[in-house]
Amino acid sequence: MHHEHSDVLMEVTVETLEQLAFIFSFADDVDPDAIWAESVTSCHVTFNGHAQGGLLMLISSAALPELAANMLGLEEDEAPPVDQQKDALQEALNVICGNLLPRIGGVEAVFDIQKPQILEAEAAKALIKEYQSDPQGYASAFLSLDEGECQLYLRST
Amino acid sequence: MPLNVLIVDDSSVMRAMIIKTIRMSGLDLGEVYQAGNGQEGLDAARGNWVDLVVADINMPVMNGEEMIDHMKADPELANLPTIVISTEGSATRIERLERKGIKFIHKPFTPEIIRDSIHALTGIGDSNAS
Repeated sequence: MHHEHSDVLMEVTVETLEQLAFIFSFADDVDPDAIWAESVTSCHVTFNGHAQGGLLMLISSAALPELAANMLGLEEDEAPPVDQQKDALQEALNVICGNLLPRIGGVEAVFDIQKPQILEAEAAKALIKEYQSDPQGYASAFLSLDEGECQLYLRST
Repeated sequence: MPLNVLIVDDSSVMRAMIIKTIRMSGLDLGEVYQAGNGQEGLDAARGNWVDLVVADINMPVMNGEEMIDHMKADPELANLPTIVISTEGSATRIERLERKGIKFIHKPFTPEIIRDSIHALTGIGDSNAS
């Protein structure tokens, strides 16, 4: 586990969720596997350039309507359609990744970030195992939200 | 005078966010045109009266920087004020865009940053308004 990258990942995610979607999140030290007890939506982005790797974001599906509604500026009782909720998650992950990489690699480093993709649960679980198999390049952040949890898994080489 | 704006981003959520943020900034917004990639953006800029382009960089079909290069090569669009709103963090790439006369805004952004950038580019709006 790369502890320095994990700290930065935590900071960037907290800042991004707050600034982008007015969602306040806090460090969560519960069992990481507990998130799978409820419905989870997974999103993954890859990058290359100065470093290459990927960033996986899991979020309780119950938190997605608030994420999307806040980004879109909708009223509290308005729920965006599912495709917009997924689009909002993809954009949130894109912003997290875009802000994370210069903090890790420096502002002179050039990265190419691909478009984030929604993943099925089994693919996300397999990716977590793969990332964890590389302790040097692996980092993670576990956050508690009003509506569920959010987890980030980074692999950078 | 209302400002006609073209928003070019492959995320419909981000386009909606940018429109919402420009409205929140207090600017007088006229027509709003939307495009999902650089090619659609070029077509929209050529087919409509547009005062300002707000574009992302990473998009399918044609990215934002390619779209800007096409605009600069077109006498009708060469001087169209353009803002890039992106997650791009590389100082090298940002400087390259700025040398083309582009104003760069990093995501996430605030209404104040949008307002001040539009004011700096077009002279429209009061950059001191709260």
